[in-house]
Amino acid sequence: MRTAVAVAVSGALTAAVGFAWGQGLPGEPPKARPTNMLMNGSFESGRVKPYCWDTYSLADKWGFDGHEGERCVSIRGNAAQDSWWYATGWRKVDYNKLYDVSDWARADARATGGRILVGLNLANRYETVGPEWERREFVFRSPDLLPGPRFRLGVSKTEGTVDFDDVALRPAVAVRRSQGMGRLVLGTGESVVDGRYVAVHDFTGPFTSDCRFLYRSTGRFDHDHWILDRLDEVVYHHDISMFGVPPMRPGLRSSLALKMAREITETDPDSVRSAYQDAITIEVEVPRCDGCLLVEVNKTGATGGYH
Amino acid sequence: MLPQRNVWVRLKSMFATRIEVSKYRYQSVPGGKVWSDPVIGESRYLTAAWDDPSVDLQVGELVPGGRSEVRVALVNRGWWRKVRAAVSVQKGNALVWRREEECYLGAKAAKYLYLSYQVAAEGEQLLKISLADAETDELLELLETRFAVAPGAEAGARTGAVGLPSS
Repeated sequence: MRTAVAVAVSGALTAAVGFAWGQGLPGEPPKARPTNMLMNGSFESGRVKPYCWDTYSLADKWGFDGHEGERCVSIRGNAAQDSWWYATGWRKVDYNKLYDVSDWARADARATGGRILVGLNLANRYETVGPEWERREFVFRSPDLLPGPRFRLGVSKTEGTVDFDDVALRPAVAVRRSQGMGRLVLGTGESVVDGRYVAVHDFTGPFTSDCRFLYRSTGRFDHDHWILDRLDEVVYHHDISMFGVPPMRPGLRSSLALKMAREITETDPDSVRSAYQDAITIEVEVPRCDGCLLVEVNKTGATGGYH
Repeated sequence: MLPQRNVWVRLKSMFATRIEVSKYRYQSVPGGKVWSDPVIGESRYLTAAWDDPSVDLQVGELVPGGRSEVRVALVNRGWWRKVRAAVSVQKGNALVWRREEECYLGAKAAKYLYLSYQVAAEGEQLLKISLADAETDELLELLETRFAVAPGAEAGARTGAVGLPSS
């Protein structure tokens, strides 16, 4: 089996509109630059602690014996609370964009329990780590609302010490598979089998907060589930895209287009609800529901608030 | 289709203090054209390791079963320039494969380039797709992704479905 990757690069020699991260002064053309959005991600620079990093912990250390270079950061956790380093000098993420997080980590041989947490506080991912330096990497999609975004490296309910080094936060791009003479574009979790289209947002794996049909989210993504506080929402957009044809956007003729709405109000854990109408089936698993979850299906666009 | 062209599903927390959603599944019977063969979707991710703010980078498709090549579409909205596009595969510090091609891009002109590639028989590797100014060697764009080839994978499969990481 052979593979082709298509990359479209469009150049836009626009003038710089301001002094921004890694760019020139106003009026100067922008410069190409590396994309790590974290300052001092190797922790080599600093005086009493690494520049551009601070801690929320009881026992942290700016240590030696890093993975590459000399320095690394360490944090000691306990079973009662979470502790972390967080970036104070970083280019904050934009909304609804893909980002790649990579880091090296190791735990002391006596560390037990819990998990280490890496990434944005609004799109967490938990990992386990062994006593040798290990590189981990995952991709997340940032939410549409970014209240107090913070990039963290830490431990959650872990008894022991964990070291981190060479951490990077960089933009990512997704490539979706195209089949059928290169015209039908589907992403992971989507399939058309025997004339039936199925889309499953898989919340497990290294790319969990992204899928092709996720249009918008204002809630937090915590490792393997959405957390929706009051009036938070997740919007999925299902279409079968043709390569080169952009998907339709919500139109203005949508104000009365609501076709189906269900409410989930039970607090019964692990509840599964399905809705049937016009050959559409939707299943939502709601392990915790302190309130009311509205499931709304709309065939022609948004009734407001989707942008 | 689906049965409409577009279907939007909104999950909204109403009068709630906290709701957790751990599974979402949508199913429908598309109208219109029906594909006779099963189609399984797949997403793959590349990291933008180097970026020129004046260049917009868009990734198109990846087609298993096609040729082992990167198709690069260059669209220049600025002045005339000469650029160099390259694809390379590294295993550790060793260069497994590199192919590059230079071309002239007129002002507001577009061009496609096709760059073939091969991967090593096994092990963890790094695929890089780069774009540089051919006259100054200034790097403009760099996309990269890590992948692993299992020992014993057939030669054809090495450049196909197992060639790049996917979700």
